[in-house]
Amino acid sequence: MLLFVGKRLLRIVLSLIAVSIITFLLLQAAPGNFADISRIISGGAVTSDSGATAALQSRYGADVPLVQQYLKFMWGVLTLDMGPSYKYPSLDVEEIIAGAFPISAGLAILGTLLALVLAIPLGALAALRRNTALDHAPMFLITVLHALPSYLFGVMLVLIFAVGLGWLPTSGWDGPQNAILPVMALGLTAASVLARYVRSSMLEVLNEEYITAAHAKGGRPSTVVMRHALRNSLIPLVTFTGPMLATLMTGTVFIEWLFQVPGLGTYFADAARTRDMPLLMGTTLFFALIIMLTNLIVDLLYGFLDPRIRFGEGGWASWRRQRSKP
Amino acid sequence: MTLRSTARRRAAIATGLSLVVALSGCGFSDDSGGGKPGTVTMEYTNVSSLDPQRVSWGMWLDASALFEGLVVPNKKGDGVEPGVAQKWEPSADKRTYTFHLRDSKWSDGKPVTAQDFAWSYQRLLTPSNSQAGTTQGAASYLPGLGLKGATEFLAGTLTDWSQVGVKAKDDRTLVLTLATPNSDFLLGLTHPSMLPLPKHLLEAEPQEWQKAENWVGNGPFTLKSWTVNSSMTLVPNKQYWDKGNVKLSQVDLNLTEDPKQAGVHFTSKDADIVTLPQPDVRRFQQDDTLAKQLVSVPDSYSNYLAVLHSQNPALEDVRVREALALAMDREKVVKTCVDCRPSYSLVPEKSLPGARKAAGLEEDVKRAKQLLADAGFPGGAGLPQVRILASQPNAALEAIVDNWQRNLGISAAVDVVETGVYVERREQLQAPDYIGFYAGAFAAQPTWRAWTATQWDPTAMQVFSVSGADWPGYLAAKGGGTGLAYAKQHASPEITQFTEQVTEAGGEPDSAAAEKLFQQAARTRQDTYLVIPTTYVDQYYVVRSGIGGVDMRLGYLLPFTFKGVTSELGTN
Amino acid sequence: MAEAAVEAVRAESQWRLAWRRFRTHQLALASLVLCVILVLVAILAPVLAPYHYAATDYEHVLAGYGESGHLFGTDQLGRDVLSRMIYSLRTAFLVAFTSQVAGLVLALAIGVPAGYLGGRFDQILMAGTDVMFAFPAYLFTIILVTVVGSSSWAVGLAIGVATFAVLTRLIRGQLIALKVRDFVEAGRAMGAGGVTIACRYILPNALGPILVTLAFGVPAAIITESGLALLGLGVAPPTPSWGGMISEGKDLMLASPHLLVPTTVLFGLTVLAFSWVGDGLRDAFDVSAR
Repeated sequence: MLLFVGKRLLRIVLSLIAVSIITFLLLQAAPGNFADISRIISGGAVTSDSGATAALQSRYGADVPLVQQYLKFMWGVLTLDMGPSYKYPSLDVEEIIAGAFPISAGLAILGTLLALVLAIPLGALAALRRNTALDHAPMFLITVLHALPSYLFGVMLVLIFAVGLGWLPTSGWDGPQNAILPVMALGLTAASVLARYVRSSMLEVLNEEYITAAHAKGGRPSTVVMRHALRNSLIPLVTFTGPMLATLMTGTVFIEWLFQVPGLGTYFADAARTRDMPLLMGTTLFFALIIMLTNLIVDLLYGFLDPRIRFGEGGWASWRRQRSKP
Repeated sequence: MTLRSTARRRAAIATGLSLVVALSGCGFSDDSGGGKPGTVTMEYTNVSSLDPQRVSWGMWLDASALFEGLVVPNKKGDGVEPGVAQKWEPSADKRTYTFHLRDSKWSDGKPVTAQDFAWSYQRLLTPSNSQAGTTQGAASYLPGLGLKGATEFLAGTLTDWSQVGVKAKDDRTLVLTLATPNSDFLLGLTHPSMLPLPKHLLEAEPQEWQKAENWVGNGPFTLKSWTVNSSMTLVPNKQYWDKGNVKLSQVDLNLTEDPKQAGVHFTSKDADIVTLPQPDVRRFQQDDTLAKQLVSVPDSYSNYLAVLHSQNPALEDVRVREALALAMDREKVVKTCVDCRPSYSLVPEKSLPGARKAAGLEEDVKRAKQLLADAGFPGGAGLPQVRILASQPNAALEAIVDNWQRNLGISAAVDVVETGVYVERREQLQAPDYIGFYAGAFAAQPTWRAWTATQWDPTAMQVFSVSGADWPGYLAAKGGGTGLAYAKQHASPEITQFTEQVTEAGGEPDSAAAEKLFQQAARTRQDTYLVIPTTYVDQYYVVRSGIGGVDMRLGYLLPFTFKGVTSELGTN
Repeated sequence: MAEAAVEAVRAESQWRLAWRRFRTHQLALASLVLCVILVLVAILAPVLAPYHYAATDYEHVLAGYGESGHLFGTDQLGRDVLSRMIYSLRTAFLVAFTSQVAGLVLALAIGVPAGYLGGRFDQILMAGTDVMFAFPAYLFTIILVTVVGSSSWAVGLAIGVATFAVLTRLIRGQLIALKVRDFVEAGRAMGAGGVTIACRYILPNALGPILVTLAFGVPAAIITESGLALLGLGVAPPTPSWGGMISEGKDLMLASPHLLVPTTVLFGLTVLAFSWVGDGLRDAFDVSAR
């Protein structure tokens, strides 16, 4: 298994390098540059003072060849000193990430937990009592949640709980009460997708022959269900939850905008919009790392849960066996 | 059994761990004033930097709370009152001003000296300090101010700082020398770029000086905490010379990326002062309680269309531009937005009465059709599609192209593109089938001089008037640092005349005569139709009852200072 | 050869069986009918819409429900909301179908070989999709939109390319899970080659999750487009799109709810309809005579 993990880590490093190169090239290819965009967004002078063009270029690194700019930044990544963001010159990129990521991650984790807590029982119940009221009603309710994009849902939550009932604040980040609405917005929309997967995955498993065999052996229904069905239906769930968690962590921009949460998503969207090279490269690489690590963990869990995967061709335990062959 | 329980155990551990991680990483910052008496919570556009020499939203916050300049604007916004400078006298030829600074201190106790001011201005004008906007916005106000040698030093042609008209004679005397007399000089000194910075702090912490724990300022408030992208807290500056007149105990700023939610935040009592977005204005006006708390600043923004340079010379004919300007049907356009009014002149009528007659246009569809025919496009035939380049969807622009199509029979469309694309496209030479304008907005200025010599000033107009054929040459020159010189050389005769008129007006010592000359220059500029006014926008604010002293004035993006504000909130 | 004939018969009855099962799932059936209706409305938009979607009327800006001959009122330019809703269906389907087709093609091309062949090949391909996953989709979409334009096709293509990684991973996962099953061993024992096994044995059994994902992909693409519109990258005006209408409508939500509510209801209905169809499909393919 160690070998498997080792090879995957190597792959991750190579992928990160690929991501960094592609991002850098995309940034160069995208129209506009930081200096011009921030000048015009902030309502600065209509024309630029050409006398300062050279100085600007040097400040934003445009006076050295692209390859050098890239390598200089990547060196910064290795030494964890990526320099200040263009837009927030008093903050270093690694500082920004270290401060803002826990917030985004926290929201995403809590949201996912909320989604799991809701989705697994609901989905399992719906599968067990298939085509009855206990299937249709909860699934209907939860699917309706899915019909709204999360920011619209967030807006409605604000209207109901903050403006209408006044129980919670509309925005800001002063204490745990500010996290409730964002987590609900994220979690409830995620729950709706998750519940369907749980249900369909459970259904698939419930019809497997070994379930029938277990029934035939005379085991109590609940034991049968819990032992075999749930465990085996967790596998596709893992495949889905992992990336979903990663997506939530990296995709909370609209929720952060709506609730004024100082998370990493805002920085990322802003960096892309203003072509803030260090911040964009830094956050993209960080997000990429998170996503790839999540995938790795998902694959490892895959193996823990399903021995056929672990020992089958391509599985991580089979590496050992193959290498020991003459 | 084993496998299941192992898996479940692992799941439980994972859940527990992630809960701990999630909650511990949250980084809450609980320092909201929460409605205690004497506090104000304001919703403010997100700030990325508090450097007043950098063009960003933060510079306006510096001017309204965190720093104080030589002089401060008076209540109405048309004059100045003493700030750090206790008194000043101009020389006989009105070119030299001597400022006598009062005995005041930075928030860390060190004295505010004339050397601080001189050092700050040198930082502003040093080309190698250029941050995005330092020299392309903040310092570009200095040519409008007319400090001797400022433009040259900024451009790098003058390298000896002692030749620039900024001298600290001693600790409390600052002498500023102008190249030519400027009746707007004192008002111009209230701009954020002219605020002093604490030399000792910036030299010690060049990168970290904006952090709350390091903060040093000389304004009525200091920075207590700043959670980037979320909130900021200001508290009274104990060292401020006039601290008796500071009536608030705390100011909380909710920093927002989405200003459209402001109305909701006001009604839910999460903020007490907000900038009200246009869609909510009507709703607030119709509610009795809310309407009482509504405040508007007229003519806050001017929306305009500025011509794009294209390989196709159609728009280089002033008749075509004039036709488009006259056939816009602005009365219909403003039906799409509740807070805007038609603009017939680049200089706003409401704040400078007589502007429309002196330097404005009169809509006339018949004449527009005639002009179009005279230019060789009768009924719009042969004219390529006229575009308006914009970075955001805008109902008013849609109305404009609609009206053009209906009134003139031409084809027109709005081209909405992403910000970066917009910025780049604005500067390019457009393809032969692409002619049109880009849409922009600019904040209001207080005087004729400002509207003519600072906004759409000769330098900018020269660039606009460069023909499509000469444009590649301009871009090449710009890359080499001589773009403005090229533009000056290749400007149209009308704009050259405009430049001469502005220079003459600028040198006129009698302010009444100068104003007349500026009006004449503005008329020349308007008649070129290179920049076409479309609408004015009144900025609406909502100020909760119980907050007083918010004196809205024209001409700034945050039109009031926190110093005189009082609050009775939280007393119930 | 005889086996092939039996296979063919089995496959056919598999589909028949699936359809029969689908028919019994009432909700899915109703949803399918609704989907067909919606698609028909989209195709027949010019006939059905009372006004042209770009027809402005400055005298009746922001009219409410039923005012001046507009069932759902007008927007800030006086354009009829109902007509724009009908046309926006068209835009939505264009974007969604383009994105799903593009995504599926890419996902099959990469996921099937990766999952089935495994080993080095799998590693390289998966590294490629890892990179796609981590992509700054925003930047990528700008470039694509700058090059191809902001038409519905372009936006659909951009969404498809930016999101095919999830489907790829799913397909690959299905391939991995299914190729170790007994029927595959049986097929190999009967002498079937790699491609046959992948396409005729495994894929039909993987169809369930793929179809569910596609059925979800339609509403997901529509939601993504609305997110892009919030960022300013959606389908260009004046072409009505749900993203554009919702982002405009949410700003005026309290003042003029008619801009947001009918559109959101239609949006939600479409999303739900496709989701339930996906549900039904999933159930239908689930129980096969095996």
